[in-house]
Amino acid sequence: MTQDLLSPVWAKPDERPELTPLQWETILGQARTSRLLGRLAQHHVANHWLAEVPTQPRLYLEGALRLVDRQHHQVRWEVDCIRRALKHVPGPVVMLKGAAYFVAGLPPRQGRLFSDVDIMVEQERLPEIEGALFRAGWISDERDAYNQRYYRHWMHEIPPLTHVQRRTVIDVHHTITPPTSRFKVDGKKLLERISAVDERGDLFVLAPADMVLHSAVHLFQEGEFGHGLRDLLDLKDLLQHFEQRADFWPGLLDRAEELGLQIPLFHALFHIQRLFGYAAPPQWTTRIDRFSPPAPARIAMAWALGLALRPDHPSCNTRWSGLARWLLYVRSHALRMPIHQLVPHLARKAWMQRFPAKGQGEK
Amino acid sequence: MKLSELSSAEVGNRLRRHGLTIRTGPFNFRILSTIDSIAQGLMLLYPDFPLVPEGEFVDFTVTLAPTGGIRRWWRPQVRFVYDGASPFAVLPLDHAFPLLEWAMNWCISTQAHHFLTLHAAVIEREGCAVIMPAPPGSGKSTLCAGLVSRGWRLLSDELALISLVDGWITPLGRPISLKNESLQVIREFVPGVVMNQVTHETSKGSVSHMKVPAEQVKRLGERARPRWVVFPKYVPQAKAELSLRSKANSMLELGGNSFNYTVHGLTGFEVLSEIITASDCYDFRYSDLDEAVSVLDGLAQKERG
Amino acid sequence: MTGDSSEACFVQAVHRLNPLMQLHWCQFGDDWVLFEALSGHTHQMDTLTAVTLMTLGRTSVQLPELVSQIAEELELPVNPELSNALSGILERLAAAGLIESAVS
Repeated sequence: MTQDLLSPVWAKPDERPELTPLQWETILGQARTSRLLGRLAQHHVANHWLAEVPTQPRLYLEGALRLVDRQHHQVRWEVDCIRRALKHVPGPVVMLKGAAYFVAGLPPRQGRLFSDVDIMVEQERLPEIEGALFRAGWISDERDAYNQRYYRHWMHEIPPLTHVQRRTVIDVHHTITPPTSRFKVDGKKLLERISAVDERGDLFVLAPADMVLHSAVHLFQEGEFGHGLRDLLDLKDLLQHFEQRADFWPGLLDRAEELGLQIPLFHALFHIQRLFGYAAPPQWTTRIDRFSPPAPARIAMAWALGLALRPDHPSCNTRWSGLARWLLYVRSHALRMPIHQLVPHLARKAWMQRFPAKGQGEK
Repeated sequence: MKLSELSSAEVGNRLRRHGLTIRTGPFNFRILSTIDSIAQGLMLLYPDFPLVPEGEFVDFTVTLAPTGGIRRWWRPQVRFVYDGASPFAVLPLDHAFPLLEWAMNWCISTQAHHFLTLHAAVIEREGCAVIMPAPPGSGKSTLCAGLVSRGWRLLSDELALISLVDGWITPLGRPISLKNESLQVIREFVPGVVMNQVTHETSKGSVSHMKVPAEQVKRLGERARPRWVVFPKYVPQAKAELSLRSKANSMLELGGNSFNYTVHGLTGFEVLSEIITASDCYDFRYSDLDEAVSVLDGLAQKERG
Repeated sequence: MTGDSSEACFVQAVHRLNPLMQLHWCQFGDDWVLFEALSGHTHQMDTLTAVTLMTLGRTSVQLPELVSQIAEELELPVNPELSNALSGILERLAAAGLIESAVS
């Protein structure tokens, strides 16, 4: 059985899923691996369908809601701790991704489970920020010198910092893509358009178009497609929320050109349309089509992404899914590092997974 | 229909093809495996457990598969697969049955959030339950096996399933895991005990599982009210003795021994506080198992009297 | 900051419950268990700490005022031991993020 039961839920959001017990087992498994269990549960709650779910599967949806609720509390607490830790460091602190949806009250926060908190700051402030976080208890777990270099020079972040007591993780960035990436973005341009989250003026989020573009480029660059479907749903949520603003679409397309992120945006919109039937208003179609990479690359990407974006679950995987995922993982690394660095790095990562050093935690 | 009503050929057939589905307390498990020791262990230790009727929802599907490549023949290994991934490291093939038991516990402790789950043994007498949280090596399982063989009913040896509504405990009733010295202790304490073959050199030493008496499996639908929280500790040559323990501290220990206390937030706090308020909390030192049983029997008698 | 001036600052600081806190209590004699719903943390504390936290939940105070309020509530003598004990409690509560201390 290679049936994706999940995407149809959001392709036809007004239709209540009616499933056999075996299909419930399958959809719960697919939702688990796609990190969409909370969202699936929330979808039922929002439509008042939860009572109609058969008793036993309903217990697992409700369990996911409890997890989501608890994590929402924890994110609020974590953001408060971060605010207090960085109170005396000048310069903006910009929330990114999940934490941003949360503090700004955006739709993708519904039903979402958070892992790390991502923030962006001015590049010059990185040492001060790292110092302030250190004093407040966040330290780098990364003791391997090679990985430290990987993070600091090739990627766009200090290694993730873990809080000694709470074990929560914070990733500090100064831009949204690595400097060596094909899709380089200057953090300063993003900082020009940030907006404050509340009247305290210490916490910010990216401008709507930048949030959308970050989500699109993140999806195709990070190499982890375990939650590609979820990230696409988040992106669709953002688009549906922001397009109510006047001039959102032309503004988004202009900004994509300005930042050089047309290709990731094109791929994102293509798959959102294919999976969920949601598209930009027709007057923008021609312009969006021009964002496409040349035909062979586009077709190959569409094939690979199409497979990789299905739930990563045995019920849904074809013989090609593994290959597609691997190709995309290699490609997204290629987007991030010059090729002569790439192969030694991947080989080393594979080696370390097989023989983790003593004392290294597992991700 | 019970597992014992299937022929061994049919058990093997189901395990290899579409899965053997059995009901263990409030959970339906589907087990898939081509490994012989899995079939043998299930037939020995789970004969009285009901099979799941066709078409009923199964909570967890667990696969125990031999690894491929050269390892099919040379130092063969087994993997636990769930949702297409392996949550645990690969183990030697003869660890397959203990791995199945750990896998089943993992499924429940990571996903069954309709209960507050504790890492604790729970046994019942006179309608009242003793919750025994304990870190590994405290002798909780030995004590549990001993008590179950002397008139106490097993609810669980590893996972306490606590209702979020009324704090009562739902039985899981699966075979009791025993290790190292306790294997011999229980063989002597319980003549005619049914135990699976011993697996040596696991991360916990030598392990095996003890079959739960059939009449207790019949009572898996009966929940129990918590009445005592007992923290056991095996101390060589110690006289069996209960000593009262701080309730506040006991409450924190229960939370610390819980798999999902933090998920439940305020509800978890309220459930634990009700349990602790209604229960007497003790530390329990013991060395001789007969003595230990008799001291705990004393607690139950006071309840009856 | 030298020891003396930091102590002086601390004495002058105004302490209050962190406004985000949602406190739930359960008591067993002299032992209290607190659940803070936002962080999800559960704390065990003695009566002195619990009453201090409850007091700061009602009002913002400086240390000397806190000492006299607690002394009255728990029928304790006002002396340096009590003051030191409360000072230590305030530090621990602040470290746990439960209270805020602002120098006005």
